[in-house]
Amino acid sequence: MPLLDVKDVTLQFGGLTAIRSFSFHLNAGEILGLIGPNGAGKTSVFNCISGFYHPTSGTITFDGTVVNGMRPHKRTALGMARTFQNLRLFPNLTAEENVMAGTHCRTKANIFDSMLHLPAQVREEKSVHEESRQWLEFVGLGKDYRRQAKNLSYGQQRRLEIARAMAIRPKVILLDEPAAGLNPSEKSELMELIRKIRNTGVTPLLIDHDMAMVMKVTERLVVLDHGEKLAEGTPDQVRDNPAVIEAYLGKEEEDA
Amino acid sequence: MKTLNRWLKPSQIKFVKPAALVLLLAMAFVMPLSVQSPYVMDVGLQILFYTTLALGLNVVVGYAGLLDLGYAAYFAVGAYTVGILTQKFHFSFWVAMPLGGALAMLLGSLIGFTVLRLRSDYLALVTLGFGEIIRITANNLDVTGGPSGIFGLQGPSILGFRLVQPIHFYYLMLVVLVLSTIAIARLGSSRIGRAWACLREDEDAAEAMGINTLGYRLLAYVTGTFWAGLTGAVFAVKMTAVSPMSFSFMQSITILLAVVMGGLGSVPGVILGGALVILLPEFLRAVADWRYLVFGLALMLLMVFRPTGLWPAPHSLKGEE
Repeated sequence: MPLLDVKDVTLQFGGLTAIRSFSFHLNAGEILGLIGPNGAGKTSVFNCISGFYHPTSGTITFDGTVVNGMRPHKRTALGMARTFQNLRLFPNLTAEENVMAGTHCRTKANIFDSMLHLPAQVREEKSVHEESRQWLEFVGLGKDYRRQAKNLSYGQQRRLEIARAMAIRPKVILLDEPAAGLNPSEKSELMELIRKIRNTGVTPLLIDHDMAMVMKVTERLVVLDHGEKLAEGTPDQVRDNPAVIEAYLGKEEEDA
Repeated sequence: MKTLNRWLKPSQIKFVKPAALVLLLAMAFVMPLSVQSPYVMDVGLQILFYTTLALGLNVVVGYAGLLDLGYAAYFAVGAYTVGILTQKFHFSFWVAMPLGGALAMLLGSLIGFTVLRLRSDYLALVTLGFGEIIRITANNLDVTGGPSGIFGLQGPSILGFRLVQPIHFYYLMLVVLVLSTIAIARLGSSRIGRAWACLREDEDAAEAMGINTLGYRLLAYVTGTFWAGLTGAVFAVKMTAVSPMSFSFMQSITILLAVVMGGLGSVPGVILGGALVILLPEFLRAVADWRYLVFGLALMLLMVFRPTGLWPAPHSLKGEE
């Protein structure tokens, strides 16, 4: 059984169809890329999976549970983490506090524990701090834990967002254009990080329009264009698929 | 902190904060014993009431970032609960006081559940409306005594000792304030406080972190109402009367002012703010009719030069480093 199964999902905004009868699945442990030109509907697919949009029809099954209609925080509790295309950190909180937010769904202290500093709460706080530092180390921000998120460099902010999502200890991490705006050396670091994420047992699902990068890191690709599935296969198969080439580069002129 | 560095060794600096706290608490404790003036006593009590209210509102506005313009309504609920229960039903004050807090929370959850789906500006307007509804209702019901309110309340007694003098209420409120400060400061740095901070910073991202944003908004709002209800309960017996006049829109604004002026989300800041909203107009009595004008100007200057408040929460400070 796939970890994530998207079946016949259609998303309409009024008269506009953003996604049309789109299906794909994600197996545990693989690195899957969802690619497509700008405006193809990739982020809409992500928003349907994570619960920020609700598909007009179709079903989304995550880890054996149909998640349709479930609010985003409930899906997170099931083990689904995401990052955002345009960085949605908590800008005025420190790097550490940003990551600590990720532990929220696994920790238990309630309002009374917190006011009374009961022993269980004190222990939990200690472990939350330690774990958050570890995730910062994991993405290479170990020294920056006290800095406010907004004062980190753009590349650091991208990595912080990944650390925060990893602190959820999810089963799957949805990465929405994590390479956007990164320079080539940052991009290759990111690809290393994505492999490292998979090696911890978390399944990454990557969205990007940067074919070259996605090809290098993913094992299987799903290509989306105009809200519909255009192709699916290994990076090599997809690269040679004429329909994909056409969607990206336009139709080739016949030689005279 | 930088000026402190010049005068003290790093090993000494860590004692500055606890020492200042102990000193402040000692001053607050000794003040009524050394000063015999009823005027000073009254101002001191006002400060205790307003700082406790401001701490409670700080949970709503400072921690969770929900603009509440009708906070005085819950203060009224606490006061009327004690007024009605002790006078008409002969409840003990010590039973009526927590009930006042509980009723404020109950009303807060009912209102919160319906309006907390709204985003900030709309929420501010709706809470303003509810604040007025509560006051006008109190003004018109028989059980609340209409415009003249409820009067002749008996002071509560502890082990046979009856609280009647302002000084008795002063110490009662000082205990309430100290406990509230500890509880609210701890909340702010807890898992719950972090969830509220996330909510305030970016609601969608908070939701993606598995934070039930609607649930936490409600929790913040209802937690705030508890403190308003509790303070209202003590206020009622101290004044020996409850009247709708005490719960006007200006009350809500003054409490909000204490929070904003001191520093949103900052516990020491809010306590400072609570003291200043009472002290400044008192000091400005010298300029008689002009005092609220001068007070207003001072506030405008503050917002221009220190928009994060007089004693901002640590996060807003770090941004300036």
